[in-house]
Amino acid sequence: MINDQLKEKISPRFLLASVVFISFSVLFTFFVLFQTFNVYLFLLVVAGVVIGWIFYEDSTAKALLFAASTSAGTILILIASFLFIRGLPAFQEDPIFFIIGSEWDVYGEVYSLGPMIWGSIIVTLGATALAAPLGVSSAIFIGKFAPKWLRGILKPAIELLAGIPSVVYGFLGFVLLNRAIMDYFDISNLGQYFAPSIILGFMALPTIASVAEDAIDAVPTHLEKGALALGVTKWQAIKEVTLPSASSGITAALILGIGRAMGETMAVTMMIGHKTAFPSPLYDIFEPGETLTSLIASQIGEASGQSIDALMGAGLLLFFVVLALSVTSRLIQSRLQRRFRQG
Amino acid sequence: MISAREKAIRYIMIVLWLVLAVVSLLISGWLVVEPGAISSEAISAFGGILLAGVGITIIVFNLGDNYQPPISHFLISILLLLLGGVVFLFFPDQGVALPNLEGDITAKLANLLLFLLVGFAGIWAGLLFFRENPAQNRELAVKYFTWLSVLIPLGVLVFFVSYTIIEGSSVINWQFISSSTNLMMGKVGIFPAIMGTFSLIIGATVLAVPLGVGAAVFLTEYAKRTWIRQAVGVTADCLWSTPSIVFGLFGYVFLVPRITGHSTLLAGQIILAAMLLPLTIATSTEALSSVPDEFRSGSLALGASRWWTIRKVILPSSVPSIITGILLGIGRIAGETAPIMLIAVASNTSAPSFLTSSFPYFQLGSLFREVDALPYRMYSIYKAGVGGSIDEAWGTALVLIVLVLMFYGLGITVRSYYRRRRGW
Amino acid sequence: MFNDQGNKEGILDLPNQTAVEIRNLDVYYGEENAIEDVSLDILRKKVTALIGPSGCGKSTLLRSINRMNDLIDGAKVEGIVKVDGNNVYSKGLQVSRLRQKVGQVFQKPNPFPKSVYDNVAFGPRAYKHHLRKEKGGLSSLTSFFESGEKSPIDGRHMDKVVKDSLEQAALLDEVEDKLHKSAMDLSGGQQQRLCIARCLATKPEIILMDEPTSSLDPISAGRIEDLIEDLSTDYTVLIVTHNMQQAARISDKTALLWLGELVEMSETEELFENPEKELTEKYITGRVG
Repeated sequence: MINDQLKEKISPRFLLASVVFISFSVLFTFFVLFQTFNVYLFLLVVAGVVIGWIFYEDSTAKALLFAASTSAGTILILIASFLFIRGLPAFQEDPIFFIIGSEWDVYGEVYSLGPMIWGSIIVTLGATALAAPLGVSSAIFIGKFAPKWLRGILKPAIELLAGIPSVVYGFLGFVLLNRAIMDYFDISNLGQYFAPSIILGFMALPTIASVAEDAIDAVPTHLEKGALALGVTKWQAIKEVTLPSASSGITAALILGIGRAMGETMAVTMMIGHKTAFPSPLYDIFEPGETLTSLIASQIGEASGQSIDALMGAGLLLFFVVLALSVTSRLIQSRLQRRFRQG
Repeated sequence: MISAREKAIRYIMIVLWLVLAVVSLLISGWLVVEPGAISSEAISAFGGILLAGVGITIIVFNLGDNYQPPISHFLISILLLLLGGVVFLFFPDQGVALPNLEGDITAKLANLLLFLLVGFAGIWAGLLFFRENPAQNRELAVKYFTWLSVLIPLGVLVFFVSYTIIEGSSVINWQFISSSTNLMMGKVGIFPAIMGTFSLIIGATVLAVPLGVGAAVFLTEYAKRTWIRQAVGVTADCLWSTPSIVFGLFGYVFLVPRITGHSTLLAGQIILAAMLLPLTIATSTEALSSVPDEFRSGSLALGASRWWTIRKVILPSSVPSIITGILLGIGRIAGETAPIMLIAVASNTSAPSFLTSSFPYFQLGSLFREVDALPYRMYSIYKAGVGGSIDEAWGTALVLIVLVLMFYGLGITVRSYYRRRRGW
Repeated sequence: MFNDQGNKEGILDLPNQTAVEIRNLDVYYGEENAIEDVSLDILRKKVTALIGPSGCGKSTLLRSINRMNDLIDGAKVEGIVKVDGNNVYSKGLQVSRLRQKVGQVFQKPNPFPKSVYDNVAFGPRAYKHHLRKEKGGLSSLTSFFESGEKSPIDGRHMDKVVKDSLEQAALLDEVEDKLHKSAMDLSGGQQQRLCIARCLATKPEIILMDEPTSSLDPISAGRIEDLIEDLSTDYTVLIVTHNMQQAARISDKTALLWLGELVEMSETEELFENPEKELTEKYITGRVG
């Protein structure tokens, strides 16, 4: 009853809004489907917004803000649909071979992603094995043991670790780590799965640390204080009370970190050996290889026709796997938040 | 009086210990018997397996809270730790050298892992045994270990940055920064790449910030239902975690054919804006929802409209946090290579220029041309083979790191400055 | 006056001295019934106190007069609230005009993080901006360029409005030399008087006060009480308090709310000396509540 501000007759405000909305939609559709940008429709939208701003500032502002809030969704849908349209042909011919086959030969025009998927799995596992324990225990230190001043330094420092561009990581890794590993382990090839997974570990670590820290922080301190009042040590309280309550948040952090590692491109591209075949034996992490991201990054420049399709298929696969990881992580996080809001 | 559980644990421990000792003796004995095998291999095999035994022992021992092992166990573990270190450092080729594992790489890795495991166990045991109260000591141990795990990544960060500074500072001079590469004159300069990176991030910011802040305002001030907030939150999350190469692919199939058909600065700006957008939404939403509700009700109770409240109260009081978020986001996208690699850049192009000397004093033509960018410059040096122009790569890396650190530093400074000043 | 369409019948049958007329008011928060069938009149240029235990719906009643309940998710209002004879819940009512005529002072001082001057000038500036928008056309176009902090619409007139409001709120002497310093640096009592000044600057007729002294020290609270008594010569004041002494000291009429229902409303002296209902007596002598 209160919020019922609707008027029975069509107001000029409503008319204006519909004209702007329709012209905007037409403009957008034309741009997406027919690759043309209509200046006149664009001017119509601009004029509508200006007139609306002059006469109905409040509602126009609200409408514009609403439009802005749909932008992220629009972009995501565009990315998903265009990857789908362009990536699907690669899957259509023989989806099973495309995913688990073992050959990627640009000259023979045989494309299957098996070795790259395997490479992505190895590299991501290696990175996670490094980043997960370090990240979670950093989160415990920053969240629970560090004094406040130290926390103020450590948090931005860890953020900074994520800020170093991946191309710089790749270059440093290539120049320092790849060579060091080659020399130390006495192996003949410069690029392997091992080196990029170490660097990726350090790149995924800040994500894990900060999300896990948030999860640890979100546990109400009265739970821990209750345990401390019973005479246990701080670590026992953390272990028995805080960490179990934060465990789903920490899981979310790990999943997010895995997603980061899997999607990271430049560092892997610069450090891996670019051999599009399975290593033998399968677990030999010192052989040159290829991952999904490095495959796209290194081959799209020279690709044409069928190989573009195959690369798009790789992109599609990568996109949806990472998407699934991040949605899972988000779901876990929101369930955690809900539990603490109720409790 | 010890409980049955602890008794059982101790028995298991003793059995494990015996088994391990026997196995290690057998192996080393076998190695010794084997002709020509009397070498460091034997020592390292014995040592390594003994170390593993001690590690397991210590872990098993500490399962019971009330049990206090004698200090000699600790001394033994320290001794073995040292031994393990010696084996690892001086006989890197040997490893545990289990006979059926051919290829010494695996052995080296196993040796490394053993060393780390035993080191961990040794320090742990030390902390446990030196004090009276094992529970308190365990807390101390955890504290040091977690502290160590923060120091490792920070050490890597410091090492990388300082290494780049050392290598790059000898390359950087005014000419390197302010001019473009001219191979005929043997001159190397990254000015076009610097200008290109700046044009990319300025364009991305101009596109993404109004959208991102607007979305955040709508979510915190207008959207009443939580599902709208959650939906936008989830899409922003998904967009943020989308791999950067996928952004590149999307730009390649969607934007490039719709703009000019070849790589353009504009396409790069739009794609980087799409990457900056979710970060801006997330940080701005956080900034806006930290504005106290009293400000909103105070303003609305004075008869101000929603929009006036936003414009005059909410936005002004959250601007510092919003700016911080944007600066950190820019720091992120400034170094992105994969998305622009396909759609916006080409090496050794001239710097984009938007100003002209005649009316109307600006031109937008550069938007529709390729640019060079710092991260891409690094990648193209790598692709051409690092050997020849490694100095240039170090110099570029240093400039890029300084640029990114500048944005981060600026953001963090703004944040800490206003956090101290604001009055709520 | 703030209702474009006007509610003609309302004005005719209302006695002139009634500022707010509440009839059969029900407020729900989701399923919970916070106010149950309350009817009362608030007299013009008098101080009316609302007392009752916490959670009895005093603040809810207050907020339903200037429609601040709209901001609470799930709040639903039924019944009639008339301010100057206009139903505030009628269609087409401009809420911002209503709130400008019915000011509110909150429990916790809530100055904006701006200068003292900008705090007081906030309401008038918003009002002028909205007025220009309503006129539409060119004047609203120019207002877009003029509505900044240091805008020409301020002028000398705004200085006068600010100074008068601060004077009325008995704050001018203390802040005259720091008008352009941040309001967040003032003390708690000063901040609350600044909020009263900010509310006076919009030239309201009715001032709603939601436990305005509860977060202040006794001396600052005393000054606010003096101020409320001064204000009652020009304004209708409705004050929510859980401090019965305060109600007895400053109000002309007092109403007791109990679990969302109106128990009794009469002259303050009468209510405290010989209450009609047994519950009232029990409450003011401290045996319940």
